[in-house]
Amino acid sequence: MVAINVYGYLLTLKIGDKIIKGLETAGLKIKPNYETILLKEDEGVPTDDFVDYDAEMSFSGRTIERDSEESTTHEDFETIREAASTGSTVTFVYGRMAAGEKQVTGSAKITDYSEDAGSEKKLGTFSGSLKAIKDTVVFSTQS
Amino acid sequence: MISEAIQEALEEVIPNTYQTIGDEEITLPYCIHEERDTVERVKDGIAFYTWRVEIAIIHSTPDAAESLATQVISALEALEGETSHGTDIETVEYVGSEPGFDMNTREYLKLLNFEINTKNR
Repeated sequence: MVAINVYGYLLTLKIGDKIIKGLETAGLKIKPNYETILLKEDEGVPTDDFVDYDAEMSFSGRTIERDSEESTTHEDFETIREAASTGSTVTFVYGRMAAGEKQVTGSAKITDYSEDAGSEKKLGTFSGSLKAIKDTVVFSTQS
Repeated sequence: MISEAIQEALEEVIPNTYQTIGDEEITLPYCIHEERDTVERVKDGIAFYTWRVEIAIIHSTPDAAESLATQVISALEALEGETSHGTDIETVEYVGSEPGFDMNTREYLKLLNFEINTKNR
């Protein structure tokens, strides 16, 4: 079995099953939560019991507006900006977007969104974070 | 290609315009330009190309070189939003200039720097 290099561009994030126009980086953070328990049988040595986990995604990119023909396939910085302001729940897919590849899917809230734009003839940037809603996250394989 | 588009625009101002290197028998004033590109990638693929363009204007007096520099800046800025030689030019940004003087030839240099974003190469 030959090891497969998974290059950065392959790992991406979709919101509502749509590609994010201008997306440059996507990140995933899973933080397991533990409860410290000390039972009589532990003889004075506490143990950490797994409770659940929090999953967060981050994204950043350049301010490129989607084409009018891309409204069904793409989100862009302006549609995400609007979604962030309404606190709406969005579905997400994180991972490699190809059949047979492992993915993380679920529902999330946009917990953070920001934009930066300078005065030169360069594209602006946007970035944000999603926090997955507990019990909606599924680790699956794309069919 | 962006080089042809720039060559055409510069020749309107300075007929003796060359890409990368000049002719040995060149007469004043003359101009040399060079372009280097960087690919700007997003997850979707290539978003655009950024070209760092250097234009050297050589003339017998600093005032004459400066006058040509002003015309060259206008000529290049006029390319913004145009399609020239198959290249879609989105933005043209004049970044700045540097003066120079060659003691041996007694020629004055005006080096102009631009950043140009194009949709394609």
